[in-house]
Amino acid sequence: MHNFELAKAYTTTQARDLLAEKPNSILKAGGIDVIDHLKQHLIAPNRLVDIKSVSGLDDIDVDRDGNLRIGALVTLARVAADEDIKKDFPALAQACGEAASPQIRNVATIGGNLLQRPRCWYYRLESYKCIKKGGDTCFAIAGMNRYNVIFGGGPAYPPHPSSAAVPLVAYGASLVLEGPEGTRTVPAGEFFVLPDVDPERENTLGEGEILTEIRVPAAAGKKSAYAEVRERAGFDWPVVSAAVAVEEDGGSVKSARIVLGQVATIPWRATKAEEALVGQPLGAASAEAAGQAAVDGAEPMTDNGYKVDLVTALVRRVVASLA
Amino acid sequence: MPQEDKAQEPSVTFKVKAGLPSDPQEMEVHAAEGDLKPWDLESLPGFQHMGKPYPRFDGPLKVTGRARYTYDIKLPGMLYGRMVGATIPAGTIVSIDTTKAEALPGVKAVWSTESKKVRFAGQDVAAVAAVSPEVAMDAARLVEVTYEEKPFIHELRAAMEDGAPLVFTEGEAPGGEDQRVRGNVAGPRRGGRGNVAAGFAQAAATIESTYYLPVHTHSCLETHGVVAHWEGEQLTVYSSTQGVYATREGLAEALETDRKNVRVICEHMGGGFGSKLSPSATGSAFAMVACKLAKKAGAPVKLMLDRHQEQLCTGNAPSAQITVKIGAKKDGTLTAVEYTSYGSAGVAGGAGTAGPANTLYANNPNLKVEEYAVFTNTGPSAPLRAPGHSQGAFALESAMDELAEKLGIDPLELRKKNESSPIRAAEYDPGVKAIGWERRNKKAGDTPGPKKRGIGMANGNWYVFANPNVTVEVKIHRDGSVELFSGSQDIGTGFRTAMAVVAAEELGIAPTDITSHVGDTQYPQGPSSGGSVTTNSVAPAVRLAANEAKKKLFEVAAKALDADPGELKSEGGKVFVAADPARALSFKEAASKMPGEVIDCSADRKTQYETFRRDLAGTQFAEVEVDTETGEVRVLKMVSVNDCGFPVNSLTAKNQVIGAMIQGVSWALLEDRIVDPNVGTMVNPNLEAYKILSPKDMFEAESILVPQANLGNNTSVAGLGEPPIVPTLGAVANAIYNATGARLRELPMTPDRVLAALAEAEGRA
Repeated sequence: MHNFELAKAYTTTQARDLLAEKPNSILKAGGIDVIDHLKQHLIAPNRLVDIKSVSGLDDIDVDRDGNLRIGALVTLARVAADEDIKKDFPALAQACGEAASPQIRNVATIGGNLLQRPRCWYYRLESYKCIKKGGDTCFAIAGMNRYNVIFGGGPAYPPHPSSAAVPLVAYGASLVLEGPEGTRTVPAGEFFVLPDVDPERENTLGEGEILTEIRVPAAAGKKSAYAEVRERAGFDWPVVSAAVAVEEDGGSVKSARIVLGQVATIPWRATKAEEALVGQPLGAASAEAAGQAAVDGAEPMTDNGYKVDLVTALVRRVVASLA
Repeated sequence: MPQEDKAQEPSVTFKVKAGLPSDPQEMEVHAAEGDLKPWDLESLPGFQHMGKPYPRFDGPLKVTGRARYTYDIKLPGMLYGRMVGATIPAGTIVSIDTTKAEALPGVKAVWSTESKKVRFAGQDVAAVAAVSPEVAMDAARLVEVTYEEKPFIHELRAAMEDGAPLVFTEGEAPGGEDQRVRGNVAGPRRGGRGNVAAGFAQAAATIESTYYLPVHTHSCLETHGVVAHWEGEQLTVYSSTQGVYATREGLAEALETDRKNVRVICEHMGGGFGSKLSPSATGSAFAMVACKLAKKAGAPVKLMLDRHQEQLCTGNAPSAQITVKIGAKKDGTLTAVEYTSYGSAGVAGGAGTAGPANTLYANNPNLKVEEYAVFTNTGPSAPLRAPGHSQGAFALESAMDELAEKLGIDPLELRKKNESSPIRAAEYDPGVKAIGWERRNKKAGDTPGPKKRGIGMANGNWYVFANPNVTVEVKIHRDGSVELFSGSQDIGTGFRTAMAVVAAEELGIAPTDITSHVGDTQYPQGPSSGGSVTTNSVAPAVRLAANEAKKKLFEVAAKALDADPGELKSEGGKVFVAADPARALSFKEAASKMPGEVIDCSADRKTQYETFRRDLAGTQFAEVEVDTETGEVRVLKMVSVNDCGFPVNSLTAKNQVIGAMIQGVSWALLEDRIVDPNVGTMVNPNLEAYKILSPKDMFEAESILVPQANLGNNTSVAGLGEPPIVPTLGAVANAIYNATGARLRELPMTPDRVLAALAEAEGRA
């Protein structure tokens, strides 16, 4: 194992200083994905800046207007168990509560969940010099791609792994990023980027930036739900997930967000499905229409055509559950 | 390996009540001289301990983390070894340069292979031993190997195609020189009886289907590994193994030393399932390498494989493509079965799957069996819990279900109609009752809503195997404490506890009054734990040794009780005059009368003799729920009905059955070794993407044991570890059919395959 130093930070400023001080330094929060990367020889950092003890980043707070703020260090288990989140943002509680295993949820942070790297097996195996690791091929194209993407692929085709990102994009969440140039707030839907922008990245986190907080606008008037299809009931990545959040007005849908997980290189807004819902009453017919529209533009690979059917079925089911 | 029916002469004849308690049969058996009258159906009501539930003795050690596994061994000055495996699936090693590895500070020894040919990724190339696991890992990565790559073939079906790259050149293939090899396909091995053409001509209905199962890996919780420790010429090896004696033999021969110089210890092991029968593993010589590294370095070496290595070179259950054709009369009577199997054990032979076809429904007069072995550039297989039988039963029992559907007969009735085992015939009803067979859909898929439930069943078979080369030692100490010694290791069945139950029954004390010592070649010889033989091979010798010790104890007790040793009996912790129970000593008091410090008796197991049945039956029922919109399958309940002669400890016996069902459901629904077709290496060499059933997927599991005598030894005990996994795959597939009307002919039954089968079923309708 590559030798590295572990530097503990207690404030975000200190963390950023430690990060900038030594080339090839990276942040570590819960450590779930970082340790995986180290053990698989996918990264060789000189320094790990441990931000687990940074104060002020592990609070869940709902203000008087119902706006939610989640510190980046809050564990998935806490998000899943929080009464306010369960009540107003049920899709988020559910997505976090079904991720990974109880042991991992007790350690993994929501910030880490959003920033984790893809689980594509070609990316995760050191021996495959894939395009996400600076190589020139996506081995999934001609290889074993049953879990790869049907949207947003090229030149790399790994599904975005974050379960939490799916409902967060649906709720219109923003991410607070603190960097050398100051603090900026980015809508979650704009934070994640397609591989044709840069195949080695999944988001726009800048050099030296730290994700400190997730802000979710009040959802009091919204109806929302989340569902997954998985091969096994426990400790598995979904093969497809979907989060839907809608606002109604006078018996029909005023606005809708439908976001798909595990089928695209980023949390995927099914905009055609959203359009299909707007102006319609929630019900079997609109659910069917949304399900059909959700697969607009899908480009299945050799072994993952079933995901197209699953998207239709899941979106239909989640929308129908809101009626 | 069928057992000899006759014991060696001279023999002693016993009349026993054999068969099922509901239908006792007089039977004469010919046991070896000196054997005890076997426990039979008449013994059953009087058992004090046999068949009762006893928590395993080592349970508290295991759940508190105090049980010492090979992984936990730490010796002073111990080094850490690490294997280096081939990174290509086929080719030649041009050079192995260990210079940089050796130069790394902390590296104490290196090893490299002399073999040049690479036939699978993960094959042994080199190894290092260093002062820490981290340094060993770094050193392993510094070993520089140059290969000349060759075309490879990664999978069974592709390997059967014309022009597929050849895994072996002529004469190199495993399986002997007289076999026919064309391309990558060896065989067939033929079997059967009668005339299938004539049989099919008589059939009113015939079905023919092809089934496919991918490679399944053992995925033991504890990976393979050893700690090797030399003291002069004496070698002690701690090994996570299913055979301490087999490991001793293999290592002594490989290291060219006397067996007496080698001691192998396995106190506890984290799973084997057949993959830990070799001294090292079927695809690696890591244990021998660790011994060589330890010798070279002059220090103990611990060498555990990591999960990635474990998935590549420690064995697997062969993939198989099986075609079954069955013909039957209108009433369901089978007229012919044609069974053709292509299995792939990677670079090994032994991919047969026809056990169930050869054994089940033996009344069918016409059977034709052909089994082929297909070579691929992947790690060699190893026996996996009833080798080949789960694959074979999945195909045969799915086909039986398809035949039942075509004939319009209840699939259970079809099996009953063709049942050839009186034991299994008696197992159906308890299973039917426990699962609620009457709740199944009369017409497959005929329930409203997207989530559909269904019930299915399947049969399995296994054999009465035993290993007679067993000795057991029993010690009764003067303070009344009792110890048992057997070299056999506990693969996880609760072997220590089972031995104590048998001895307790014979000695008349409680099993918890006895301490069992196992898993050490310093103890008397015992079998490797394979073929479901450990308990039934050792138990008869435990009984004999305990009986010898009891006789000696009775001699000393008789004097104190002023009785004849022949008048005494022991039960409930007392030694007493049978005709006058008031004349009694406690077991402890009796022991205190011994003149010396210990009564120490050893006994050899006597040979196996005639059995009521030569095969073990077994039938299984599954209830599933299928989400027909998402293709998700969840197993709700499984019921397994099994016979194992007389169960020794009903708690751990049922535990075996439940464990087998869990492993089988995992196989049916999830497990799939996936190899990249272009690069030739496994893409899911872990337990994340190689999926095994999680705690959240657990279902209600019920084990029903049907006692039976006589199983050819003085305890009437037979094996149970393997048989209950044989029917599981088929039972789940048949339940999915009953739920949905979709026939899954390919494993694992993941959402994509379920949705495809549903679409196919819809197309048919």
